[in-house]
Amino acid sequence: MLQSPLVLLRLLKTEFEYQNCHFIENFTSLSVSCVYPKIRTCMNNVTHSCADTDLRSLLKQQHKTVYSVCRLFARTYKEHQRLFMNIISAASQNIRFRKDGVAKQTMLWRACVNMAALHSITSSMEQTPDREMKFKSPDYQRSMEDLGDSLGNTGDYDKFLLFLGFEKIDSKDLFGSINRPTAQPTRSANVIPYLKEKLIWS
Amino acid sequence: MELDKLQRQWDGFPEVSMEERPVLSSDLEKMVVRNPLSDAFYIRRKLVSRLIAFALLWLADGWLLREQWLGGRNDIYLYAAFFLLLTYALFFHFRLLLFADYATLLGLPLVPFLGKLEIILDKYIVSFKLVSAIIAFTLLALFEQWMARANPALFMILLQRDWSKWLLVAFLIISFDILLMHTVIPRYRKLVETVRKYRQGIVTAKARNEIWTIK
Repeated sequence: MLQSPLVLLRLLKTEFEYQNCHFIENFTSLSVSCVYPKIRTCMNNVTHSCADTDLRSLLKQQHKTVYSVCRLFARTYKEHQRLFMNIISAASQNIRFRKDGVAKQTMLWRACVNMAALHSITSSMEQTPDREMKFKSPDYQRSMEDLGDSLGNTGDYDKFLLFLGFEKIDSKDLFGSINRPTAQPTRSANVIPYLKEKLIWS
Repeated sequence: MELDKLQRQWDGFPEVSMEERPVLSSDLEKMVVRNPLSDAFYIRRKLVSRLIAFALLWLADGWLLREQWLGGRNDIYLYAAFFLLLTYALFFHFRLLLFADYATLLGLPLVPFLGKLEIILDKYIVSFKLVSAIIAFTLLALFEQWMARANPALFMILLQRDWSKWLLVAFLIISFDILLMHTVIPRYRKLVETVRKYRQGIVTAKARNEIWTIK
């Protein structure tokens, strides 16, 4: 039986509150679920609410590990919290929209790595070289300073490997292949490079 | 040795204090539905708003082109060129939106994720060329429409001097291109450069690590 328009409108409002992101996918799945409400439950034993509970329990189980990756990339309490929230949001999004064949755990760790990388990129653009460590708890502050001293100028890839090693996570599907060709910046034809160099600099 | 020390430090990290405690439970509900990407990386809304604006212009220009076709056809080339430009711009933006696929973007492994992000931002920078051309054509079309109503005699003179119209379009395109190149584009260029450098750093470190592992 078709659901009433009011129910459909309420569901649409909830979906719009999902910050308007992924509107087309959500709208399509929502419309189908409203017109044919029993299709999902008939074809699949796992209902939507069950899937949500799974997601929530996974995030709750792993939140300490997720929080620990922030130690390597954040320098203040605010950064720490923001990065943690972003990772949780990304993980939830990855798990919701994951393709078949990829484990939920892998999606969670990919969210950790990718969001930490984005955080690192954003921080490097802010041009504040010696950012001070600021944490409310003195113990936490000391531990963060000690860890910072031990890490020194370790690169981000090594930090990822350290995190994965300490937390005993398999790094197989997290970084991808480096042999795949990627787009290079387009350059104009450089007919006589040495001449061009001379013309520009002399 | 150094690694053992780090492991000890990692394991000996104090339990998260009340102040540093990660937000959970009720906040988790809000966290799981928010968009994790910042505005700099998330250009979906910008693309959608552009698509809507271009679609409206496409309809308006289609109507003007139809009027030209049925009427005197004295200005048909301008509207036909604008129509083709808008069609291509719609195709370009729609393709970019489909390619970006923000729902699954963060689920990619790190190196392909950074590579894809780089391509999206690169294409977005290229799209500003189309935007400057569309602004130029829109301004000229609006100017012509206004002039046809305000001063028909002057409008007829402009129609007779066809080259001046195309010269004006070229001038406007170049002007808007320079304007965008010095105002909006630099921050996206800087972002692309930073993402590119970061990806190259990761790729180099990974290659070095793989060589060490093989040795």
